Amino acid sequence: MPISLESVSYTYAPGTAFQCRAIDGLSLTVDDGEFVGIMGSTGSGKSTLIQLMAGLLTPSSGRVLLDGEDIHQKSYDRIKLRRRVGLVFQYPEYQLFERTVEKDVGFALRRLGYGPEETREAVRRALKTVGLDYDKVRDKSPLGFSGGEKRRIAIAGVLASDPGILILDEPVAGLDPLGRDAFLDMLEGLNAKGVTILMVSHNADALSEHARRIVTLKEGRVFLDGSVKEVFSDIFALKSCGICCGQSRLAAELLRERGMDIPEGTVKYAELLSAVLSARGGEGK
Amino acid sequence: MNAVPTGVYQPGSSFLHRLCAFAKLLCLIVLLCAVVATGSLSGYALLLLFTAGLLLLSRVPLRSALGSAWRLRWFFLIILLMNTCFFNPEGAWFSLWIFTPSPAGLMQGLNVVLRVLFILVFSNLLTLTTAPMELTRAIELLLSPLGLLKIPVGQVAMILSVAIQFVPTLFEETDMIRKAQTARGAKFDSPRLLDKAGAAAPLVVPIFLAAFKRADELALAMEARGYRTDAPSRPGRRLSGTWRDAAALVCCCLLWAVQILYL
Amino acid sequence: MQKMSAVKKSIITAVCIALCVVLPQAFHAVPNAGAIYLPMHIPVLLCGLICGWSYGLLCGLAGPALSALLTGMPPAAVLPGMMVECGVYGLAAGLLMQLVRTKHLYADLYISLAAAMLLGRVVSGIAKALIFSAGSYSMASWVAGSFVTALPGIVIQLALLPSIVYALMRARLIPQRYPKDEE
Repeated sequence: MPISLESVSYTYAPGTAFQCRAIDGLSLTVDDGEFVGIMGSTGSGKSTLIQLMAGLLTPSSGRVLLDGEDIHQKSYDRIKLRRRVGLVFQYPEYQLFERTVEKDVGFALRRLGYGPEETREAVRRALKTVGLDYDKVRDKSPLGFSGGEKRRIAIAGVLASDPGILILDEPVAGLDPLGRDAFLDMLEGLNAKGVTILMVSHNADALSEHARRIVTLKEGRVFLDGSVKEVFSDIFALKSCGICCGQSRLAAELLRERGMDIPEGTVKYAELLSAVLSARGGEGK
Repeated sequence: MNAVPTGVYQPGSSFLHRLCAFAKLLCLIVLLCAVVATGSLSGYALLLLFTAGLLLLSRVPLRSALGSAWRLRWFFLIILLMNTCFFNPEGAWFSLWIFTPSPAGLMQGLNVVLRVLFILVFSNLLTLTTAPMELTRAIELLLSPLGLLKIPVGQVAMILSVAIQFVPTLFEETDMIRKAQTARGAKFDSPRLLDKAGAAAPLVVPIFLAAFKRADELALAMEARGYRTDAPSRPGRRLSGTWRDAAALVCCCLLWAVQILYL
Repeated sequence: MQKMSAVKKSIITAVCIALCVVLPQAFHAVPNAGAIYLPMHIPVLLCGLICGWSYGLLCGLAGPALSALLTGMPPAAVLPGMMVECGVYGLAAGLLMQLVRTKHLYADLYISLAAAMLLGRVVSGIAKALIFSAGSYSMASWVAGSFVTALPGIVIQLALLPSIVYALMRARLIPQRYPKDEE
């Protein structure tokens, strides 16, 4: 089920002194099963873009289509939209409010009309996905956990309704390195099961390792759009819209400048490693 | 709640904008007294003239100066009707069931509505042309005599300025939480009462958690830097009135005097 | 809840005052929310419960005033009455929370809340009748405005406030009232 934007514009506070066009005639299509990274400097319209996609903001002009249907039409079923599109905000642990983990994770399900049995199964599954044991945590208050665990509980709350499209805003901010890797692996796992992933992040390392397509935004428009290799090939174009490449890509560039034979389009850590090894191997190890 | 409201303050450089906040606050108080002292049609005419002059001097759009009054139009209408119909049963034009509309009632209603209206416009003009921070400082200055009554004015002023600084942050956070819960399917407009209570929790509980977390962090940072509430407060800013401030204050006092003495 | 420093209480009060501005706006999207949820009462009552009567009083006075200043709501005409009402809420909630100690958190909370809400309405009713709108204010309109229209808000606040206090204690943002009894 593709999600696509057709020349969408969005203006904050129209008609006032604080008027600001956040998204300007933007078109973008994301197909089923993609893993897309969205990058851009602060104020480039990333957050507005994902809120438009999740139907939380209504475009000033243009259409947002989910499976070919305009989600902002009056007749469109909001419940269907909420089931299909899961949205994880930055610092999702701030959404927790229920007395127990089970209730909090199941909150969306009750809202979407699941039965009690169905809800329990979905909650169990969602908690397992984020690496928590249902039987151990279900009756505890979600607020008593550590920061990383709270975030996992909050994300389980989004995953519980089994969304086909998962949109995440800077989900790894504030996680420790191990937690970050585990989290990104979990996203890969979901993506492998067919879930479309759209991830907004400043973290070029995470995106170059895990995303397959990168969309960069500049002043409310799509600036670059292509595979990870394509987008990260032009470091200077990226710099012009305030984005820095991942460490591996930068290291590859520096090594090439110093005369080492690193192939174009080396962006991932593993690729860099094997490229360096084979270049060194050429010198006789 | 699309964008962070920056308050009603509209930056500018008009005569009213350049007056010192403390002078404007004093002017407002004098003007409120003048409004309360007004009771005749000619008095209201004078007030109207004065208000028109202020609006010209402030150069704020008419819309923002009168917008909040327009939002209360039904309230005004009801006040007017209630007073007209119930105020004075004796001198009524006619009586229908419990309704006894009278000219005296109409006058009373007009009196109430006009007073509220003028007070509203004057206080709007103050907040439209004065930055909130300036205004708190002016209020702090106005309240400083309370220090003699052992009220910790310095601490209160600190609390108020921290509160103002928190407003935009909390607006953003509230907006984010509201959207996040909406994305999880929360609805805030159920018709049933208990559902309403239930619907408020996903919004209100996280807002308080987020706000208190910020409070916790800030309090810790302040204590770490050695802030103490019982420390002597910083010296207040020196008053820097100009001839403009004095002239404005004199004008307002004149208006008050005219209202009391002649109209 | 006696262990918080004066700085922390001050900042919590500041945050509650800010919430008096923010919360009513958050409910803005909901039709008629102001009259139903009475969102400004929530931070004021909470501030009194957590920080004590003096802070609660300040929050009740400053919250509506700051909101009027920044958002134009409540309008200047009803502001004084609202400040008295909220001031009494904060004051009474704080005093009662200090006096009522039943060894059960929820009992303390409910008793303090209910009494504070009643007291606030009585005092503001008297104040309105005597000072702010002398003559035009009757017993019947006080009962209607304070209890009948506000009933949903009262129910919601009684349901909501204890769960906010509970959540704040669980998140360790405020100290436990009875550390041994409440797990």
